[in-house]
Amino acid sequence: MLSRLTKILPVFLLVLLTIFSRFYCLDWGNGYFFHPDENNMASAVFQMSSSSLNPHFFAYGQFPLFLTFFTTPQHQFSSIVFTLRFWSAFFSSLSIFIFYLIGLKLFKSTTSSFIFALLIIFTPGLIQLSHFGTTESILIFVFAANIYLSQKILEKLKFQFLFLAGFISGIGLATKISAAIFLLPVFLSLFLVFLKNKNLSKFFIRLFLFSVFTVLVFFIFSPYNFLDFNSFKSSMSYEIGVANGQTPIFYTRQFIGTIPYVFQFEKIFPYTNGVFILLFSFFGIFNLPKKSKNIFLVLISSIIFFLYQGQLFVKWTRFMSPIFFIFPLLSVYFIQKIKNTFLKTTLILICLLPGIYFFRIYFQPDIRIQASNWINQNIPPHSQVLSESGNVIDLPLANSKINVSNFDFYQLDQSFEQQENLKSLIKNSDYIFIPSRRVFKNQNNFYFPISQDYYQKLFSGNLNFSSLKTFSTNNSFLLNSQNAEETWSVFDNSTIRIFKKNNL
Amino acid sequence: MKNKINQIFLFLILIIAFVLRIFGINWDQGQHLHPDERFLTMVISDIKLPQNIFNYFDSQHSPLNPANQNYDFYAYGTLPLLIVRILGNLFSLNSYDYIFLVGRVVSAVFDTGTILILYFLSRFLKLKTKTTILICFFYALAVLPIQLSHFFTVDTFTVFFSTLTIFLFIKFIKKNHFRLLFLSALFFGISLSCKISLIISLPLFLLFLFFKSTKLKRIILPLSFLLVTCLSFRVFQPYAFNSLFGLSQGFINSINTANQMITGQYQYPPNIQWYSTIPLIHPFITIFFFGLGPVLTFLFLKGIKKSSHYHFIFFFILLIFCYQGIQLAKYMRYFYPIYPFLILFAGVGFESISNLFLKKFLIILIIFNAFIFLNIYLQIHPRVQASQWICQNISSQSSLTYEYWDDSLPLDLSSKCNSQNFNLIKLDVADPDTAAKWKLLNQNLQKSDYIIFSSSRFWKSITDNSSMFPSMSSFYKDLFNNQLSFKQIKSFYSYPGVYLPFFKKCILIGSNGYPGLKTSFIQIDSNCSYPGIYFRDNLAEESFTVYDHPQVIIFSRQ
Repeated sequence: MLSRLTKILPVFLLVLLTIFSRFYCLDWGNGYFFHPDENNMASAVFQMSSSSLNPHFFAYGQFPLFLTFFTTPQHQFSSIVFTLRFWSAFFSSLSIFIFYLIGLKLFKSTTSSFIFALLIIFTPGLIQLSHFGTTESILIFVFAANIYLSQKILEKLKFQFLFLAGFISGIGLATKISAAIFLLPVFLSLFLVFLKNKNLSKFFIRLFLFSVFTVLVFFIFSPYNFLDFNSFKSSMSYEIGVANGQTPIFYTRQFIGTIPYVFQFEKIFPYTNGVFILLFSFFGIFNLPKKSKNIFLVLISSIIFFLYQGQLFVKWTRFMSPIFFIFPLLSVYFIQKIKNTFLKTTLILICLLPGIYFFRIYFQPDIRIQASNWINQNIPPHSQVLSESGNVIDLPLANSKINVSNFDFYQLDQSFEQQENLKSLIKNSDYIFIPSRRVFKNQNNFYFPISQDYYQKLFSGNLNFSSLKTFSTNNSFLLNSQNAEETWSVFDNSTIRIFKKNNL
Repeated sequence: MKNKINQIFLFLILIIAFVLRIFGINWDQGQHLHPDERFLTMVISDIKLPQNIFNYFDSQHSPLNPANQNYDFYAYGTLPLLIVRILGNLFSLNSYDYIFLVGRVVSAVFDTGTILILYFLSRFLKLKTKTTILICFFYALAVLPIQLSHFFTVDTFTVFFSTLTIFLFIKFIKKNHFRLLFLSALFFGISLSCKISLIISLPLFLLFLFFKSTKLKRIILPLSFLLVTCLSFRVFQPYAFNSLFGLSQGFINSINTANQMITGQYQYPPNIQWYSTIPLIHPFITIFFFGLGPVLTFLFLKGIKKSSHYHFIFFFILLIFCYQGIQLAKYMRYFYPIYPFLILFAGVGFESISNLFLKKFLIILIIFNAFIFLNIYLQIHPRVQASQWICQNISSQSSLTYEYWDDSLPLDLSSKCNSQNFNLIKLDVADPDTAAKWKLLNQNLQKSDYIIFSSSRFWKSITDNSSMFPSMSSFYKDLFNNQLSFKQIKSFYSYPGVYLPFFKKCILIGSNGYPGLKTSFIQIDSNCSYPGIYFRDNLAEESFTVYDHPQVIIFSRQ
């Protein structure tokens, strides 16, 4: 009885922690929707009807849109957003189970797999993405599932694995076309099987069957990519232009001058995985089993993914999310080598700290609401305020008697007119709000001299304004979240700075 | 007897190598078209040899110290200056107009010397005699060493001494004679006195000594190496110090600035090219296509499998490649110290091929690769060609643009043909894309009759970084698409290829890389100066083309 309990209890604990970490506070934002991609997807679903399922939106595939459209309790914007978030949390939870299975294959130990799943549950980046109604959690699931199925194929090639991998891959493509790279582990496993039995015709037949089934599922779940091909094509060429930096847009300015690969290790992984896991994963490399096809498959697929995604001009955090799991995985290889139980437990607990620290933001009211409340109580009516546009949603201020000018700083350096406007706004404003790090972190450099001058003067007190109040929720343990890649700190939390004119 | 034949072969290879390295040594027709070389030439023609040994070590007063000649920023070593200046004085060729040629010849001599070290190293590693000779032959024909030997810069000096250091170090590891360790550290200090950047490999030497020794030697040997290196550096780079062992602030500042340039903390125009490059992959591609060429790189990859026999060399390659490969600035010359060893492994790879026909074929390809590259030294430098054309075809007092940080044209070729005859207008193309920049740029463009690009430096790197320069990129694309009031009328180039005087036309293979334009892979230019078949390397790294074979493009107002 006791031994059964010791077997069930860890699984029960994992399930409980999974549900809690993924589903708690899916209604973050206090009724405001601060995530632009979530809003875009919700808008696309909102305009769909039973008679016309064409979303007229091709940045993503139709699978998550259809899923939401057919399952949302009410055809209202907020309900659609929450449904998107529900599915995101659902797929994130499912991924944890898959990672547990992958762990079993790799470590051949339930304890190590348990530790691996625990570290995955407390990975800050994965907790955050499960709370966003976007496609990332589905894509992470697809990559994980394909890796697991590829391991099964390597073990014993059964056609049901191949078809299941085809089905999952089709879902991946129907979610986002860039999921094509997630087919890699399946191709690799088929190739490794071929190297073993040297049967070329069988290799091509399997490859053909897998590809055909994938495309078929892709077509079923994202038909408008084919039926409205021209719209899909033009959307893709725009997205490709943005991704490789050939189409300059204001919200990718943070990537100007960034070094591929180095950027991810400096601005993404320490925040999404925590510094401890990153460090331990480095040590884990030296404890990797030699001549293990399973670990080879996982590492090669992840490295190729990293090399491809990492070199793109845009280096958003979410682009790296499918390989967040690799750091906990390598850390387990390090931790399992430690014999001393106390030390081992301590290290595991240390690894959980960044996740716990991150999760606390969902127990607090949204920082923007806190800031708004303070502003409403402390800023006198009819005050003139200079704020910044381009923040998805401006600060939700109930006090309509405050005159807020949301200035477009993205045009500042390129337009004399805007430069003159800013001068007069500074002169006439009583307060300056900086609602997020978006502009001052991205345009405070050589390539935006006018913006740089403005922020340097403001922060050093040379603009005749002084810092009055700062609202901030840091989500990164031992690190400052504002130094991370922008999207890590501007959707579900932010830092709001309020400056007051001297002698006011 | 066999040994004698090998020595004859080695001698012949050294002769060939030297000839290839001085072939077309005055490649810029005395116009000082390599900016780093120009800087070194300015410094070396201003400094003087110290009167005595005490004066040499006196940083404050030594005339050899660039800082005492108002060169506050000088990040190179001073040993190459000393060597070249002594020879310049000896041959009375120490003026600005001649000393760079002495520097180029010395550069070629040092790189030829590297082949000799490579020979002894290969022999010491017990490679087959044939392989040893082939390694020397491959190095003699490798493109980047040939190119860098044509420049009076510190790179060939550094690589000579660093290769010597590693040869002696490996010998010490095998033989354990303290004398070898002393010499190795001595030459390491000398190589740092040529270029300090090699300091990144110091931990590797120390770690190897630590792990290869036992007991007390684990401490004594690394410390000895460190001590001798420091002393050697103190002797051969005295101007890095302002007291017996106190580094001078000027030296620290210069090194900091140079480091900031490499990492991108210091923003300056040449760095624009790097923002679109991928760490590690970019340097590998440049080595593959340009520095070594595809065949030698392929042979290196084949030979590296046997790296377990040559641990130190393998880790040296790995360290330099990874460290330099993840910096923002990834100039080909930064990887030059690993070239002798890449070629050593290429020799090992070649040895493992059993097919004789394939071996012969590969050798022919390697020779061909060097042969086509040397073509660029056969022709008059494109900027000189362009200058002559400008003087003959553009009326004096016309307004000609040039891009800030790039050289203006025409060059001062003679009293009749020089820049004074024209109204030169500077375009600040690399400034941030602000409203103020464009106001000035538009005013300057309106005044201009001709737009002249003396290299691909900016039109290529800026359009590769559209997000950084959205308006400037559009300008270049529109210009090349003839959508502005200017039209391309002439271009001058000197690509690797084969000069065929009887051909009358130029067949150009490869992309021209013009922004926003799709051109055919093969183009025929019936209006070219040097008929033949050429391989366009417009997509190569900037530093590979802009010094000795840039493309000059002239646009005229329509």
